[in-house]
Amino acid sequence: MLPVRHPVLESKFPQLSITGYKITSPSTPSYNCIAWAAKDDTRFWWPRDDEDGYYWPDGIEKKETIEVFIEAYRSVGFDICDNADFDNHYEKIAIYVNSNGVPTHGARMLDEKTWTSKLGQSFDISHTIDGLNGDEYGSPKVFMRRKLV
Amino acid sequence: MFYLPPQIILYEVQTPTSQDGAFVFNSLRYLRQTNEIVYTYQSLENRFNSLVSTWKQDTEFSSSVSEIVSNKAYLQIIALGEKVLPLIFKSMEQEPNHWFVALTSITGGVNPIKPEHRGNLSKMTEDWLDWAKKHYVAC
Repeated sequence: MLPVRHPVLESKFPQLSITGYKITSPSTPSYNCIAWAAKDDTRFWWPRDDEDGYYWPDGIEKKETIEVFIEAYRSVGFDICDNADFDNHYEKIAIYVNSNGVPTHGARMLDEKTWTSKLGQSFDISHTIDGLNGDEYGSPKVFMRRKLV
Repeated sequence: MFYLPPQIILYEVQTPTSQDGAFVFNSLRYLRQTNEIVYTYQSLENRFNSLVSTWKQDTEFSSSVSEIVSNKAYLQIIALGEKVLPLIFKSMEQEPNHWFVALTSITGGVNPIKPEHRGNLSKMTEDWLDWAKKHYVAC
């Protein structure tokens, strides 16, 4: 049974207690938000040197910048779009950056009001686009979309 | 029996048996043979468990590998050096986690992860445990 409220989560992301959220999976370190936004729940994506063993799309630079993360998502079919409006012909994702402009998080849109996120090494939640804004992840900087097959 | 700090006891009984660092495991076996030594081993294990707990708590919601492996507690685990390897491998046998950067650092650059396993924590963990079985008698 998944918990309905999670005090530690709400302390890290205070907006969630206002905008609402739902825990939708058990905790696992097996994949992260960047992978989950691209619908990959088998790998942990991050731009690290090969010797560290983490996955990053082939041919994409390994730097923690928004430009590099955009290229990583381009490599799996996403293009930049100018809004987070729901469009049932596309799947949309958001890339969050912190106050230094460093990418911290990726989320994927489910419907008009709901997004799904894998929270680091913890669980998946559904939430509003504003629900994760704050010190931990910063806020959405770029939206991208991919045609639904 | 007079008191010696745990670190000194540990180094007193280290018995290198190979070129690849296997002495760590042998020393822990020797250490377990007396009461003082059990205390030493438990001190290391307690310290390790405490640091792991702090690390997990600090980085639970982070997807950034850079943040996860630059966490203060994680760096303190790396600083424990080769003697902590058995505890890391034991932890990996229980559940996969982000031990790869620590292992590469402690072992001086070893990387047994197959390219096709990159990002898959279970497979990456298996690659490291396979490596450990070949290089450490007690794993």
